Amino acid sequence: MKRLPTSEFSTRLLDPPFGGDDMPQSEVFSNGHSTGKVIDGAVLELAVRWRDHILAFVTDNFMHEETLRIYLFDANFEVIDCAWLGSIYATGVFSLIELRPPTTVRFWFFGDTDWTLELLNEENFALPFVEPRGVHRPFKFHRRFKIDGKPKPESR
Amino acid sequence: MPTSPTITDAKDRDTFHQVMKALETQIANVGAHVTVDATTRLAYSREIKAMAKKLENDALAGRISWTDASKQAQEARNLIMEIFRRQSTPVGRAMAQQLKITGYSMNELVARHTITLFGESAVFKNLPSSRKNLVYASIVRSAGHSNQKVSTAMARVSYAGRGLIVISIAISAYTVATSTDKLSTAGKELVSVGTGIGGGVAGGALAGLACGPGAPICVTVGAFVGGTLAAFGISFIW
Repeated sequence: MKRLPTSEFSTRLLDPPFGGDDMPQSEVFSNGHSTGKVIDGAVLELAVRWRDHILAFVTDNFMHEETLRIYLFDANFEVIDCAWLGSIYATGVFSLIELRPPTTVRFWFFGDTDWTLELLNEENFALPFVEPRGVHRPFKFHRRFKIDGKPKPESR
Repeated sequence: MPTSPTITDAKDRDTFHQVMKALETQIANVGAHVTVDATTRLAYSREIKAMAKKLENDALAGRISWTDASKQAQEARNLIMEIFRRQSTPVGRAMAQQLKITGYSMNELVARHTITLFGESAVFKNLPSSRKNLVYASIVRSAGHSNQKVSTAMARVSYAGRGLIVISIAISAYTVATSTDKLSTAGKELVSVGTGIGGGVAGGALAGLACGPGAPICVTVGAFVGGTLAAFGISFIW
């Protein structure tokens, strides 16, 4: 598990208009070459190589309603799992706390908590909608990484 | 051989009517909550966009500096958001408060937008003033963005909420039309639906006090219970 420099993995924001909902999208680049893949998000915050996979953390760059998008790419840059952290009226600031090999990434975003992402060696069964508060995933019963955290609500 | 109605039958019929009235009131209650929160969200999206556009125009016209415009964009948004949170229902407010947020500091914003505009090696303090202004302008524009996926979803929810209100009105209209005492029934319908919505808001607010901030499930249950109790209370009194 190692952090990748932008010379090895990067994203480039596409010119608007994006999709139908005006959300930013970016093209994925590997070693300076386009992979032809497009993902939601604007700013690549962190890329980590894990085996022949790449884990990417991308934000929308909306300062007042930020969303953190997490993608796990396989060797062919196909997204094999993804999740996003965000909520209505809520915003966060991504920062890496540490990479904890062989499978764990700890980071900050929102909720005043340390978020932990654990990469899984194989697809694990998981019930949809059973995620910590603020974490969302597409509807499916399998995952390749899990996210844990105990986000706090706003105080009065 | 059919038997004549008994006191038990009459009580059962009253109970049935009370339950149906509570259900009808809940339709209006849910419709009102959803409509208010969805409308508030759409107003939020409009207002922050208008705020960012005004600051950009003021800076372009030279009425304020780009530095001030970016600072005001950061500060004004917090004020607007607080106003909109207050306009939401207790359920909407609880949803908005369910996560403790961390916002970018001005220095972080400047650094992020510098890199986004001029590359990883760019340093803000080394930029000429014309480029510094581009960084501030980018911050101002960014302040006008909200998550459009959320806004689009809320717009759809708003239609659903209005639909529920229309259903509730239609049920009330039918009840009044088929009643022998139309004036009394109309008054009863108006009061029970109004009280149900008010009870829902009050129940949600009380649940919010009991469960603490940022507990949308608890507050939703409170709103439901409040609306039901209010509907039962009115049909019991009337």
